[in-house]
Amino acid sequence: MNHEEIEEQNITERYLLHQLSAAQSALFEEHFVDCPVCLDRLEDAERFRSALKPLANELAQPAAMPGRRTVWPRAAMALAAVLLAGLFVARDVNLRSELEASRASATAWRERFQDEKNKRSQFIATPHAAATFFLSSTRGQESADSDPVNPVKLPTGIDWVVLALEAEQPQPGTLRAKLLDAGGRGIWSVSGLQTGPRQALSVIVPASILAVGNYTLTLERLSPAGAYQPAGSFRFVVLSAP
Amino acid sequence: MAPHPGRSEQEPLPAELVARILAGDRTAEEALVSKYGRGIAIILRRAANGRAVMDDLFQEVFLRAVEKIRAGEVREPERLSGFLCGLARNLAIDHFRREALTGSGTESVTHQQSDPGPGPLDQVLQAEGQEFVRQTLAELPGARDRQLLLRFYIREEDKDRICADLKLSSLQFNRVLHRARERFGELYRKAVRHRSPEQAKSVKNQVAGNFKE
Repeated sequence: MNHEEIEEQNITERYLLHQLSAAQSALFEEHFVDCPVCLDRLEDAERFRSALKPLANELAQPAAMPGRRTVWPRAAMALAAVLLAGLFVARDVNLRSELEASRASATAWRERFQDEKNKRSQFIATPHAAATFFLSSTRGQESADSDPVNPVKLPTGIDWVVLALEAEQPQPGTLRAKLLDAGGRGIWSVSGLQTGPRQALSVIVPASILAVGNYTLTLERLSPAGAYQPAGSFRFVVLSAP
Repeated sequence: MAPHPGRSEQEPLPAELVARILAGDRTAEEALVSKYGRGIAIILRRAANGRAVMDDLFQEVFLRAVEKIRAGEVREPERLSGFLCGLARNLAIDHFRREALTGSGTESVTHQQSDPGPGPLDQVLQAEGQEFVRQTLAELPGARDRQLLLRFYIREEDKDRICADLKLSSLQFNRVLHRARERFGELYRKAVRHRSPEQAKSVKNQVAGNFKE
């Protein structure tokens, strides 16, 4: 994780808004906890959001927040003081405006909820096809240049790919799986996978993220100290993709 | 990972800190808090998600960390950051789970203090923060940018959706976010610099050390 990536993907804000996966959050935490630049950014974003909250209603009404701040001369300020009595009337107007803004906000949320619900229903109603591939773990002595032991040919018309991981001695615990492309960049990850005794593990990834090329699926186990430790590596090559 | 820009050359390396704590060096424990305190506070505030969190949780993270280091449980000292983050996350999850189980969270294993509400300094900081937000927003070129900030930060809407609705590219979105955050930070830091040393210290402690949003 580098600063360019963090800025491009709005990692700072998405972290604070809980919009990152658990794996992405953990990765970012490990970076920022010791990075003064990211700590400044995070604290600025935290304070900004916190200070923005009480102004949300004003912000929802463009007329209430002029584009440029007007600097009032003292005379105008004095005049404003005379008009203070009018505030009692204005207060009622403000309350109405706030009510309208709240209603607008509630409507936006309702629409968003309905939208998400429709998407979910659509997903459930649509039949999905998956192809399963059994991956053998990659040994330490296998060099980066040697032929991968797990060739994968993706058939057309599939939405998902099931990667069934062969392990000699599966141990119960909490695992994290990461899919890396040929350049070692993470393209998918899932954490918090629970395995029991004598359970085989499979992960399901969207077929759309796999193009022809080399990939490595890594498994990491959560240690009692709270850190993920390497637990397995499965290299595979996608020979054909629709 | 490449060294972080902005990090002091004299800051101890993680493995060095672990070794010094193992050797019983008390100053290394202080250095541990000094080096990782800000980051751990952010992790805890985020886990708290607006709930009041007491200083006890922050202290518990570092107490446990030192205990584990002393007991030789940190097997990869160079990955001390990951260890501390994991510990903070787990303690926070455990704390809030216990709090939920005990109902109102009045008493649990750790001591819950009632939230007395914002103190005078909190109120000043809040008012000041809002003024800086107003200034930042007033410097934005249009209503669209303000809508973007509202929808992203407050309504917590998805970036893609906001971009599609406001007809913005990802780059334009990032620029607005970046500009607003940087400008706000600049105003904030300028105000902190202009305070007296006592005020600045007090404000810094309030902002970095307290766990109220």
